[in-house]
Amino acid sequence: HHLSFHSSCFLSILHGPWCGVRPTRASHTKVFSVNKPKSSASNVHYVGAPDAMSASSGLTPSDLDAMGEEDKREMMEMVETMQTRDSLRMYNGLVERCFRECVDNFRRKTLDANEEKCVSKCTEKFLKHSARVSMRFAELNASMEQQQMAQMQQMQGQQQGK
Amino acid sequence: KRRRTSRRWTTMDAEKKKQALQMASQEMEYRVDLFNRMVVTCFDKCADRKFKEGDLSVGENSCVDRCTAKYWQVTSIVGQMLGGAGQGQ
Repeated sequence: HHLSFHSSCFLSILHGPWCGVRPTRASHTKVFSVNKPKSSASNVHYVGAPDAMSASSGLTPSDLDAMGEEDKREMMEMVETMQTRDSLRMYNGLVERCFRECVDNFRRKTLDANEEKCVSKCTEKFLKHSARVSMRFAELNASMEQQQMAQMQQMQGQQQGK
Repeated sequence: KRRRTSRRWTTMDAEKKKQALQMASQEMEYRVDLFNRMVVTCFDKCADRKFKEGDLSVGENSCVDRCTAKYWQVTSIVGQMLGGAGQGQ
């Protein structure tokens, strides 16, 4: 299917670094109970592409604004390429994993019922696990950034004091 | 004369922009790799192998939360030590 860039969490399997601050999709809250992170900022919102870029690349939104339209487009293309590559890698990895875990006998050419069930459960479990990790990853990222900002402000304050 | 200086300014800016883009893409690759490894590692450590259900149990969920937090800590420790080793020399 066509990978559209405009909604950065377009594929359910892609989370984490692509979604930046706290994904707020309802599907995540249905899957598991959401523990509200300590860093619950008032600006929690659904992350669009620029936020995904800034969260995962280390560029600040002001850096992105300073770039011209061409550069922004170039950045976005780069991000899209990476997202595609990452999703394909994830797909292959998941196939291999579930095959290794579930398929053991080779008496027949087709998967038997147990193996099929195992594979679908394995996939589902891994995807849910991945979604949860992406939530935690985003939270840890956000709290680290807050710490860094606080440190920087402290340092700036000390410099000004001198 | 004004034209010449402005051209130089724009070319310098373009180089800096290029560097910034490269750094940003490297940072992104690093983050994605870190995330992928975190997912795989914590799955191996926490998920029940038998795949009785498609859902994660409460115990597995807690395990995953703690696993990610610890993984993050390890990342920062290793990062500090690598940075310190570079500076020490």
